[in-house]
Amino acid sequence: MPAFGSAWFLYFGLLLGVPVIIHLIYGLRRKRVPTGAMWMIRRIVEHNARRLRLRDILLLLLRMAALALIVLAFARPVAWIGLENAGRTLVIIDDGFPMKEIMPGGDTLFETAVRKIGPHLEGGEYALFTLSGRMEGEFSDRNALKATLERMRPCSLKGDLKTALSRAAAAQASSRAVVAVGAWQDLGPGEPPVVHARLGHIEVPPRPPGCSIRIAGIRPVPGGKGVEVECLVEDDRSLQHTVRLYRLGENGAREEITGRPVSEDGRTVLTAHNLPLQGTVLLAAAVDGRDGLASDDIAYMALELLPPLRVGVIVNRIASPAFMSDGFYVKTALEVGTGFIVNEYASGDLLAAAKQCDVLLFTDASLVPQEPGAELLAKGWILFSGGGARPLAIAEASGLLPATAADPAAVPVAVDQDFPPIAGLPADMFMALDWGEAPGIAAGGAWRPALSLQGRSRILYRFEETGRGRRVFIAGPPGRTHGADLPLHKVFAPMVRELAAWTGLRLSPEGVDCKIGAVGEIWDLPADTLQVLGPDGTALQLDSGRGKHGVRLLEPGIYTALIGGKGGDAGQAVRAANLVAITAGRSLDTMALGGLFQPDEGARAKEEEPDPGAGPWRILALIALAVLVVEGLLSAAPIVTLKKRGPA
Amino acid sequence: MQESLPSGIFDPRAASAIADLELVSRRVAEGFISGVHPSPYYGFAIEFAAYRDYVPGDDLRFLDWRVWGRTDRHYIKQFEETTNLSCFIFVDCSASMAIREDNGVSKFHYALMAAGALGYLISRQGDNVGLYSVSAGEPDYIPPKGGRRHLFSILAHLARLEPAGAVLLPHALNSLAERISHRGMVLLFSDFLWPTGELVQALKQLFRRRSDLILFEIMTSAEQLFPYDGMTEFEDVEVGARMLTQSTLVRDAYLQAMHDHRESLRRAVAEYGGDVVPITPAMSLASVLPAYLARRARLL
Repeated sequence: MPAFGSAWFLYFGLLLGVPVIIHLIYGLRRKRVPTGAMWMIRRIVEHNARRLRLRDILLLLLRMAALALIVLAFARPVAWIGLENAGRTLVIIDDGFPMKEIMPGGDTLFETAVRKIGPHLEGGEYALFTLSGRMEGEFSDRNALKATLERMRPCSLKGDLKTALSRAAAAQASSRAVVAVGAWQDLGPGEPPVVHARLGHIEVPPRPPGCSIRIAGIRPVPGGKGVEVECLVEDDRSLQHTVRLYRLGENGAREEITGRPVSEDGRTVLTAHNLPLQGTVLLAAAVDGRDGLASDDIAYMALELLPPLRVGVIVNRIASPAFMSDGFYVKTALEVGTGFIVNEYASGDLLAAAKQCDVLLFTDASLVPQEPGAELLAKGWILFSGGGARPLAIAEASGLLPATAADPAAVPVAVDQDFPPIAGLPADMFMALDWGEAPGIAAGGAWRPALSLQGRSRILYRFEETGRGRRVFIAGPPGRTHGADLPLHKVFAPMVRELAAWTGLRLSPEGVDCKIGAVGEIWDLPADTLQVLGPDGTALQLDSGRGKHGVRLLEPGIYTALIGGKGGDAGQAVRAANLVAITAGRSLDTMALGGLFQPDEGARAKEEEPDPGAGPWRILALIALAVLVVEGLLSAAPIVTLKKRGPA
Repeated sequence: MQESLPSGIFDPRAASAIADLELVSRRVAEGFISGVHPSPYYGFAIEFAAYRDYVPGDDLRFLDWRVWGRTDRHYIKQFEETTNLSCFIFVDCSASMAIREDNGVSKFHYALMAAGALGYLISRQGDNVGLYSVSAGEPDYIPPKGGRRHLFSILAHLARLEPAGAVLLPHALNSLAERISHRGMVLLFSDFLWPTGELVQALKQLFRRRSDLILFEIMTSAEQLFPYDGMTEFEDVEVGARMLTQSTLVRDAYLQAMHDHRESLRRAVAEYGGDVVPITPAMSLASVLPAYLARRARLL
């Protein structure tokens, strides 16, 4: 059966009868003319009878052919050759709980996803896969699929994308296209591309464009009460900023502690005198009143570095933009094998489990004074992800660690002020994570390469015994943010492996190794451009191209359609593509992916326009036009006579 | 005189337009009285032709006395004789002549008006006028004669003619040829829509009678230009036969065939010194006839 993008248009095939009717009407609509030259006319007609009849039939056929071609063109045939082998189009839609989120336009993510699928349905048969596994099935035509999609609603459960994609991947061998649309928020770090995409492009919370702030250190004020917080502000635009320090006051209110303009070198030391450390939660720094830098990377590092510990992750909500990060932590915690989730809906069992954790990760500082935060604050390790400060430093400075107040020197210090400079690398980008409390770690070794970023820069690390404990030092080049620039799993994978060997710790599960060798890796690139590394390391440029989001060539044999121009969104699309590819163990012939993204109205309008150039139907339309032209040239009896000939 | 002429077929404007002109035969005519046409015989008229020796019995009035006085020899002066002629007006009364031009004038009516005007001219210049009209029935034949009364009777007869039925045009022309006993002029009013070969053969019969032929080829614009589109049912008005065809498709072939037919006719007639005057009923008779007569006079 031929496949048509708009099969209903074939009903217009009845129009093929129109030329016949016109022919008949034309024959009936005769006019009678008296003539004295009948002998002449008769001779001409008899002499040319055969030719005239052939011409008449040819004209009729041409008109019918033109109509048929036009009808076929509008029906948008997908292919003419090998239709039987064309297979199905796989439609994978994320119907997970996060898809219920209402977008600014009033539609839910899911409704937007359904809408975005439409233009990619070229015709033929379809196989639908959902994260929830509901309403999956095969559909013989586009309308049936669309009807099903319109009936669908996001489920209230978390979807299992990996399973869904596995099912889709198993089925895609006989398919010619894959259309995957969704937020894919359930993708966890177990899938390498997800990690890349997330680290490279997810930013929570927002910050001024081109500006980042890091807390370089927190230390007690010598000889007094309070802390000094050293901030490092980087701004490509060289704008003046004021860095402010906040504390979490009573009832969760945010109180400014101090603020100071950023110095010329970008360094600002904020001193909070008389700050009671005990019970103070620093919300880190902010630039011009905005929230500080999200420290996804730091949290991730912590989680990766702490597999021997039991990690609890405390999140406050799921279906929210912040869920992207929260879900990430959750997945990460689960990935390393010891984490679990505690949220505001947590049951008593979970709370009890949280109390057993060695490390608790709060994804939102507002959770701290709330349940179950107060009870959990007694734990020895508390990390904050929302502040941008080094988690351990925050933990120390906030006084939440009992040992801190008593003996600051005994507290593991997150930022090593005595970090030895490395030749060729700017020292201000160094950071050191304390590993002193981890058992069995022996210091030693030289700087080791952790990662080389396409020859542009490299990351080094080493373990070292210091006077304050055992530490792992990571050195890298300057970047906008560590988390945004560095594929940290690559930084840490060898490091953790060595750490495991060094300490004899067992990594659980097999590890971060699984994050190495991704099919595609996305670096931090401008939002509308993505660079993808293919399996062989070939750099493939993804150009979102002139504001139109269409099919992009990833590499020979792999195609993807990136809907939306933002890096995060495109990253999600690519990672989903890679997931399918990985799971299927082969390259995709065609893949159309659509992430959910809120482009500007103009881009959205363009995006939602059906691409008139897609498919062979344009060729058909041109052929039909050519046929009409030929018909016009041949026809001595046009259906419409524009000019009536009269006597000269 | 005009008041008593049959109305409808006699166009006073056309008659007055050609009143000062002459319709002169290009061929010699055998007449009985002196006229404007060249005669095959030498006579004693105005135009000096030659001298010849006197023979007994010659009329002494034509003896050139001056030459006799100077040379003592007798010569008779000879003059070119002019004579009158007999002119036949042939009118095709077939049904196809009833086809009208866009202005409402039929070919037949136009033919009658032209015939009436030229008959008037011929009679006025002293020639004999006869009429031969052919229709579905027996042909009407009025022998050529001179005089006003005879002209009136011809015009009255013309006024009574009606186009009807089929006419075998070659056969009619042959019949006419049989009735022509001596040299003269024949004015033929018809559309001449007949297969060319047969038509030319019939015309040759007339030429063999040493007649001067003038063919007034009267066709409508539509017959010449074929301005039809789409499915058209052509009806042979003479026999009633019909043919349905896509007129647009046969138009080019028709125009070519029509051109070939008219060109063949013109050449065949010109070969014998005749004229073909193509006319459409849309033309003004008062301009067509004088123009033709003037052109003919220049070529004489």
